[in-house]
Amino acid sequence: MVCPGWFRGFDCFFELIGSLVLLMLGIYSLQIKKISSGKRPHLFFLAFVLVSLSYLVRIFKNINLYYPITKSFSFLGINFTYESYKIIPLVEPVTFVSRCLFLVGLFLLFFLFTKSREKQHLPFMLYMLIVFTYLVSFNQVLFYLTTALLFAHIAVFYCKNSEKCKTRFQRIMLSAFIILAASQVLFLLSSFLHTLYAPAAMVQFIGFLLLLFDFVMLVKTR
Amino acid sequence: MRKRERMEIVYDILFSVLNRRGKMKPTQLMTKANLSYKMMNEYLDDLVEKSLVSRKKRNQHQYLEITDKGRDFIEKVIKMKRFKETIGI
Repeated sequence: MVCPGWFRGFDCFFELIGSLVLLMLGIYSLQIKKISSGKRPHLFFLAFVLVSLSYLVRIFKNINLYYPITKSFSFLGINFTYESYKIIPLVEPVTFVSRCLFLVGLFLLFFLFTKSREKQHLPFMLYMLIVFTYLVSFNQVLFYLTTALLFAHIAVFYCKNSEKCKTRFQRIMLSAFIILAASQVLFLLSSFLHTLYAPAAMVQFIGFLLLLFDFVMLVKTR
Repeated sequence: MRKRERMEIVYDILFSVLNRRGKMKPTQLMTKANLSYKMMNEYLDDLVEKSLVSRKKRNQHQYLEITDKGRDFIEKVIKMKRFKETIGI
């Protein structure tokens, strides 16, 4: 992932806001447990927290890459200064962890919105999920293609949901997930065209802002 | 028929009272909130203790009146239900 120099830091800020919005949604969905039976509120909480955590891990990695530590030493009276990236040996494992968290969180949301959850298929589905997450996490294009598809699937669920109960809150939620799916497509394309990275991050930020706006409206409107 | 959660029953009781301009006879509540006499009294004792409703006597009839705390509670539950519907939980 190549972030243009002028955009460094902005992407971390945007993703930090996104992770906080997701965390808020997750924590609030736990409150629903009081009026709803079953494990769905807990699973929603887990899904949002996993995606939020994945952003935090990515922010940690990016900050360490963007702002290297300056070190200096003296040799034969000459001062040498160089930039050190402590995280370099950890970039791949950290990226892997971040992508795994993101995919597992999104898969969880995907399964929650999928109606057929027959119990006898669950062990096989879990196995496939682990294998798929492992393989996809190493390939950037495949990773963004999968996240785009998962976001699109969630958007389709909200589309059907908004047909049933036509409230503006659901329409905003639907728009937010469509925008988030679009941002993943842009991230995918940015693997080939680096200039698309900044627009992708901005589109993703708009998606998070819409989620935040919807959440505030839901909680504040009387 | 699905068993109602405790919070849902409390909400149904308070909402029924609120729908009758904040005042209601206990016998009317029994049918509105779909509760047995015993269960209704158990819930009402609890709600009175938590100051969500108050028991009033007028013309030898007992009335239930929703308190401000009860109204706040309803508003909170309505927001939660709206969130639940919107997010699809």
